[in-house]
Amino acid sequence: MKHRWSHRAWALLRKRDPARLMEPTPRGSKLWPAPGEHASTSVPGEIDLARHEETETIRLHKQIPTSLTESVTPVSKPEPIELTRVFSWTCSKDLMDQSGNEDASIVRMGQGRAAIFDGASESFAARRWARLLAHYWGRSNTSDWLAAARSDYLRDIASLSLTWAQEAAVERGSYSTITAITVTSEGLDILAIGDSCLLLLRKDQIVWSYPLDHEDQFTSAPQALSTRLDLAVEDSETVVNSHVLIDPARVKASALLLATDAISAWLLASDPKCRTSRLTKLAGCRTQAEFVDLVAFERAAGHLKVDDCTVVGFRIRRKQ
Amino acid sequence: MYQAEISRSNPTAYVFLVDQSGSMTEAMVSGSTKSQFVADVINRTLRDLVVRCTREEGVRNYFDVAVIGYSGYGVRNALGGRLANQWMNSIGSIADNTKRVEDRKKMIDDGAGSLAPQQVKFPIWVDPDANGGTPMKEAIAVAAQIVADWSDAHPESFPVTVLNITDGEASDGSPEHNAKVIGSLGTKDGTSLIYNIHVSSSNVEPLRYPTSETALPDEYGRLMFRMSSTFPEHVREYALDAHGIVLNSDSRAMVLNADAEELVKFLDIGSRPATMR
Repeated sequence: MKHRWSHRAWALLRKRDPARLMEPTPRGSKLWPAPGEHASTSVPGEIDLARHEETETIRLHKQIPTSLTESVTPVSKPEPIELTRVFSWTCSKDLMDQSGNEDASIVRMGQGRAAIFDGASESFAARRWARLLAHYWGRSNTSDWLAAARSDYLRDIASLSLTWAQEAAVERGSYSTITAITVTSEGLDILAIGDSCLLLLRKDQIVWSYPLDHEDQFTSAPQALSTRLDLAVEDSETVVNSHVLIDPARVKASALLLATDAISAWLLASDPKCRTSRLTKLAGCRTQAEFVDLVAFERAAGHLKVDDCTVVGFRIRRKQ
Repeated sequence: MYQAEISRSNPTAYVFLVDQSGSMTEAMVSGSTKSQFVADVINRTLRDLVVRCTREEGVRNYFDVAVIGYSGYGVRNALGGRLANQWMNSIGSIADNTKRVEDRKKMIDDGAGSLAPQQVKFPIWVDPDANGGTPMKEAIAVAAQIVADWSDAHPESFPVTVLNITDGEASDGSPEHNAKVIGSLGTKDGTSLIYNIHVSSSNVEPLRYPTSETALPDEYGRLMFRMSSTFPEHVREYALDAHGIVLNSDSRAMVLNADAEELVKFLDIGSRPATMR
């Protein structure tokens, strides 16, 4: 994907000096209006989405109890809610080389499905694997999406002419995390394997996140889905056991984010003020270029890990 | 300290020092000579480093590597062909310049509770060699110069790790000062690391990763202790996760009387990089 770099990103690449960059200015968000800002919607207090291309919605109709977390466990039959995608940003670890981005995302709003994937950089073909997982997860809600992705991956790799080093690297496998949401008749289903996160927001506050909720929990070796046939059974069992069901309305969430680990860890800072400030900066991005500026600035300041960054934002509304 | 992520723009480096003195012809308990076994383990370690950097599009240059042999022939580059033109080579060049690739068999789990042979490609960069004395002092001086040059050129990188494999005392004087020089050089991320392993053909229990000089049986052991670094945290975590070896912040990166198994573990731990991206 071609990307037009902004002046500030280029400045960073040349100087690597955050003091020379202007910090992106926090402002009103697509996820929530800034104080005093009146979004021009037909419903007072709601945000104008007319300029955004995504208009399909995910609908949540009814919920059942789970043993997950009391604060978001569905307990009664709520009004249905709608999710609307507001933005989808991604940025490579190397700002000069978007082709090296090993994250992937898929949004199938018409089917009530969305997911993000973070291919493990230390594995052989992380980008290919993450994209295959996204493709097959997006196509099917049945349990065979993982096997189908693995089968395609192995077929593709078998067709390549490999060096001895590549053959050995293939044996080690390729790995990717997944965090996916699906609206079902029973609630909002989350599948999370690894350290990509779902964050529920109420205005400019993070009110719940999953599977991690603090920056210290992000390690260098998260759980991940593998291309290796010897791990196929284990991976399938992990998928089956990694689904949870929640009701975002129980914490009065007005928006949700799907974010890969670097952005998640940055947002889940220890300091609550820091969380709010960073969330406000992120939600204030209006374009991909502004997101890249923000990533460049936060990396240069030492706040954000240099890694591929992907975040997809959704607004939550009760269905009238 | 020791927090720098390893990337293609900020690679790290490994310097392997290999004792190729005459005594390396002695047979280990496993049957092969010390020189043969050390060469095998070095080749395996280089292979692992290459594979760790290999991606669909090719080999990413996360590491620079030097392999230095010291023996009666003096201090020499142990790598051949184009790799012999300079001490330090990128891991991509290492991958592209094997001496040969042998077909070997390794035993793998057949899925039914038994082991079955599987043919694997085993690249060779270093052949066994053994001759004369042990100019370890000079070898460490050469390594110090390589470390100094590399560190100057890579000030933001994770510092160099030097791994010295020997079977005895230096024949050219004490290498302690030169080892301390290596330990004083470094990058913004920390001083260079120097790990020492003494391989033995006798069936003596290895003395691993001591925390105190007084725990060592003789002056040779105490010298090794003083010449060896402590471990960065990520290496200690890896040693525990991969090998069940408990290292604390005072543990020195040294093993005395190492057998074959200990040498394999030592190089696996010592060549474990920090986070790569």
